[in-house]
Amino acid sequence: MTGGGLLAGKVVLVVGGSTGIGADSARVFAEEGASVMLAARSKDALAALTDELTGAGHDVAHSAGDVSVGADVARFVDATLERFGRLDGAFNNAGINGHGRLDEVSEEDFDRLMAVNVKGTWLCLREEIRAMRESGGSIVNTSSVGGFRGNTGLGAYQATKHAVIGLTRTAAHDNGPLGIRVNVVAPGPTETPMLTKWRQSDPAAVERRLAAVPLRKAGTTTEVGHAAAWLLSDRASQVTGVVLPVDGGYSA
Amino acid sequence: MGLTGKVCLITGAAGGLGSATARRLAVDGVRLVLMDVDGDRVAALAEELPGPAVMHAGDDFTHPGRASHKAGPV
Repeated sequence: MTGGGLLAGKVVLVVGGSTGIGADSARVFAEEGASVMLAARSKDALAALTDELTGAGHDVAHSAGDVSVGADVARFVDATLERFGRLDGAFNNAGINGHGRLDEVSEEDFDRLMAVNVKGTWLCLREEIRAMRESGGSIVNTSSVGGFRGNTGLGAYQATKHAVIGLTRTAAHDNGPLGIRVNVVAPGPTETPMLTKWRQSDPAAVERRLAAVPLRKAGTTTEVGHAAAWLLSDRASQVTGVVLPVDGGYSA
Repeated sequence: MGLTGKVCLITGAAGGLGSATARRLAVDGVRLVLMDVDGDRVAALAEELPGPAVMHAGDDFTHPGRASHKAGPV
């Protein structure tokens, strides 16, 4: 699909694109005219979303793999280049949640959280920048309002989301001269499978969180997608290294 | 961008950032109310912009109350 969309004619890779914020963002990017490569672990979920979007007339393909494995992430980018010929934008959204107090977190859980949320983001940046080096591009990483404040009950999650902001700011400095912009969206409470799970495990904590949101509601995954779409678009051509909260004012 | 049909008021509309924003929003189908202390310049900008119902009023916002009710229905 081409025409007047915000991302008309652009090729965008969505990592962590099979569910939640990633899947609905991919829908937004496709609606805005982008050709989209979906990447995530679940091949079935990717195939279903690919079918849905191609059925609606969009130009979409997928590549399955683990964001914490360098060879898999390289394949996401190579598959994009093979299928669409270039990479203009990337939304690095793969992430997992943590649980419990820091002193209760197992070493295995800590390592897995760091591997997916931090190393995964770095691997994505590395491979995407390789593909954007010649013609520039725009990268958006997903952090969280937990990227600039702490909370209890989510283990090392906040630490990983702080790290995503650090990676983003450094990447903005490293790659600005190449015409590559790197920014972060920081969703607040958002209606995702992750929030549903959290609501099941600690409903009171979720209610307390929503009461602290000035707009008095959790955001939708589509609203995060709209913010990411703008950062990926040429409309944000002078914007790099920013953290954009999409949180109903929670962090204001 | 989902801005078509919205009504936006821009103060300081005749200046650099104001006029650039007005041009961008006009392209996006926004109906504009342009205000600026420089009546001639804001009138010139209103002439130049495409789109429906561009209105303007030269005014000085340092006077309380002046900002309201200057423009009619857009």
